[in-house]
Amino acid sequence: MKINQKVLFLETRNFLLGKTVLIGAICLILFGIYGFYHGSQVIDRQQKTIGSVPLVQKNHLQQIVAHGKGKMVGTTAYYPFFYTANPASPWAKFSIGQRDINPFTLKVKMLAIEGQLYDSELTNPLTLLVGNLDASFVFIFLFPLLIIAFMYNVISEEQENGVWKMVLTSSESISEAILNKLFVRLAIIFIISIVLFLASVLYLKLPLSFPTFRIWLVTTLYLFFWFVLSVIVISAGKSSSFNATVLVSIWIFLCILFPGIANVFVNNSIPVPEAAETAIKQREGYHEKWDQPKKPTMEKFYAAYPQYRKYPVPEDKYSPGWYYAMQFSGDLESANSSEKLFQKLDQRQELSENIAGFNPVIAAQQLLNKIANTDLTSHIRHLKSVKTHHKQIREYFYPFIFVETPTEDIRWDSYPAYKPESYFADSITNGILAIILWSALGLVISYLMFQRNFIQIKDTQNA
Amino acid sequence: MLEAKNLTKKYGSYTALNKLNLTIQEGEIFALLGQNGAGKTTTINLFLGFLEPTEGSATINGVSVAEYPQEIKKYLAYIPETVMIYPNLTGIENLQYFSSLAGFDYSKKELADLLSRAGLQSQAFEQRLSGYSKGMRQKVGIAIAIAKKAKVLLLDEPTSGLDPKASNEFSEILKKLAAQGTAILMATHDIFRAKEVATRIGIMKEGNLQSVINAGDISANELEALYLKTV
Repeated sequence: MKINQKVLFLETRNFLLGKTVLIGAICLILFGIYGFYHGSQVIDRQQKTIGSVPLVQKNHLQQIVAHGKGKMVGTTAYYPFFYTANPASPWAKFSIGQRDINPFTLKVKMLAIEGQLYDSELTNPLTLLVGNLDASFVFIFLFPLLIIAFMYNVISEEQENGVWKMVLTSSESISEAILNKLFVRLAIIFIISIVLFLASVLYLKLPLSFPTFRIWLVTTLYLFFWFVLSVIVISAGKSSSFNATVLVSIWIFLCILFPGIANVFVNNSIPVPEAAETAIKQREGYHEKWDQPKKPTMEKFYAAYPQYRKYPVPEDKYSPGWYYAMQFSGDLESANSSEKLFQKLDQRQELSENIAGFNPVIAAQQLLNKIANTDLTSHIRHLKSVKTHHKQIREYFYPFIFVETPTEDIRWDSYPAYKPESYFADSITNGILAIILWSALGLVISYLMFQRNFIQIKDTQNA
Repeated sequence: MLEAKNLTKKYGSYTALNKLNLTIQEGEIFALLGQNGAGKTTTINLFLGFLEPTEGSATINGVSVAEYPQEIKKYLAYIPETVMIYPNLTGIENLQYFSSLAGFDYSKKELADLLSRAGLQSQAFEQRLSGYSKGMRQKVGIAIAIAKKAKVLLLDEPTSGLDPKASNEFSEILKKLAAQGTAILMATHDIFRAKEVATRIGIMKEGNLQSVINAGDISANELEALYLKTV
C-alpha cells in the first residue's frame, strides 16, 4: 500500500474547502465550550456548598450546645446534624454523571440511619428533565453527529455527481483511492477531537494524570467506533440520502432508544422493593418499641455494645439510653433489607455494564462516569462511608449518654471527623474491550462489503 | 487495441447491447452514432468496466475488462459528456490529483504544460473548477488523459453542449492524440462532428451495431441520410 502524499494533500484540501467541515466543527466547538462551562458551573456550585460545610457544621453545633446548656448530653444529642460530603473528583466537571441526582452532602443525626441516607434536598425537576450538556455529552452524543456529517456522502456524493467515474478510471488502485478518502476524514475527526479534548483539559483544569489519559483513550476509541460504523454504512454503496437516513437512525437507536429500553430491562430484571422496605422496617422497628417492654430492646443493644449493660435503664420511664437503643434497633431490623438493597444496586450496575457490552454508547458513558467517580457505584461508596461515620458518631456519644453527662461538660467538636471516600480508580478494561471489539468487527464487515460493492466488478451506480 | 466479441448486456428481458463485435486499432477514432437508448453509452461503460457483461467479452490491449478491471485502467482514460471533477480544487490541482492517483508524479510546470496542450488558457489554471465552463472542464479531462499517457480514450458525447469553437478545438485535440497512436472510441449524437473527426463510424439501433462506415468513403450529407434511414 503506497501513501501518495500529493493525493492525500489534495484530498484534505478538497474536503476542508467544503462547507460541512467548517460549519460542523464550529458548531461542535461552540457546544463543547458550553459543555465545559455547564460542567464547571454544576461542579463548582457543588464544591462551593461542600466548602461551606465546616463553617456551617461549627455554627450549627455551637447553637445546639448553647441551647442545650443545663441539659444532659442524651437530650442535646437528639438535635445536631453531622455533615458529610462527597467531594467531586477533578474529572467530574468533564462527566457530571449522577452527581446531579444524588446528594453530594448528607447530614445525619444520631437517630436511625437508613431513612437519613435518602433524606436529601429536592432537585429542580426541570433541570433533570433537560439533562446535563457537559463535556461527556458533547463527546458521546454530539460528536457522532459530526462524524455522520463528515462520512455519509464520502463516495456516494461522487457517484451521484459523476466524479467517481473519473476516480475509478484514473486510480491505479481503487482500494487506495477509498482509503485516502477515509484516512483524510479520520485524521480530521481525530484532530478536532484532540483540539476539543485539549480545550476541555485547559478549561476544566483536568490534572495531567492517568485518569485524564483514560478519558482521552475512551473518547478516542469511542469516536473511532462511530467512524467505523459510518464506514460500514457507506461500504454498502447506497445513495447519500440513504446513508444519512441509516446513520441518523442508528444514532437515535444507540443513543436514545437502546439506553431507554436497557433501563426498563434492568429495572424489571432486578426490582428493588428493598428501597421502600428498608425505610418501613427501620421506622416500624423503632416506633413499635415505644409500646414494648424495654428489656428486649436493650438486650439487642447490649449484644452489640455489652459495655453499657452496667448502666441502669428504668422500665417504667423514659431514658436517653433506651431511646438511642430503640433507634439502633430500627437499624438492626432493617439491616438485612438494607444490605440486600446495596446488593441489588450492585447487581443492577453489573447488569448495566453487561448490557453496555452490546452498545458502545452506554459503555463509553459508563466508563467516563466511572473515571470521573460520578456513577452509581461511587455514590454507593459514599453512602457506605456515611453509614460508617454515623456509627463513629453514635459510639463517640454513647458513653456520655449512658453516664448522663451534662451538655457543657464535653467537647462537642471532638467527635470523629468524617473521612470522605478518596478517588477510586475502577477498572475500565471490560468497557474498553467492548468498544475495541465492536470496532474491529465493524472493520472486518466494512472490508468485506467494500470488496463486494466497490472493488469487484459489478454494475456501477449511474453507469 | 480495443476489441468487443459478442459483447452483450441485458437488464432482465431488455437487451441494451446485443452481440457487439468491434475492433478499434491504435491511432483510430471510432464514432458511435445512434439515438438515446441505442447502446452507445452501454458499450462505453462495458469497456470501462462499469458494467458486467451478460455475455461476450470486452478487451483492451488484449486484457479482459471483466477479468482484470483494475489492470485495464492503466491503458484508458475516460471523458464523459461533462467532466465532473472536484469543484473546490483548481484546474491544476485537479490534474495533479488525478494524475497522482494514476501513479504519475508531475511538477507544477509539467502540469501547466499538460493543461496548455489540452488547450486551456493559462489564466484558468489556478481558478477553482466551480468557475469553469463546460468546454474548460472537457479540456481538463483531456489533460488528465494526456497525463495518464492513455492508449485508449473512451468519450461519451464529449462535445454535447459545447459551442462550435470549443467543439472544433476539442476535435483537433482528439486528432492529435490519435495521430500519436491513441485508440479512441467516441459515442456522439453529432453526425457532422463524427464525420469530421472519426476514422470509422458505427450506427447503432436498439442495442445492435447496424452498420460501420469508413468516414472517408462518405459525405456528411450521405452520412446523415444513412443515419436517418437506419434509426
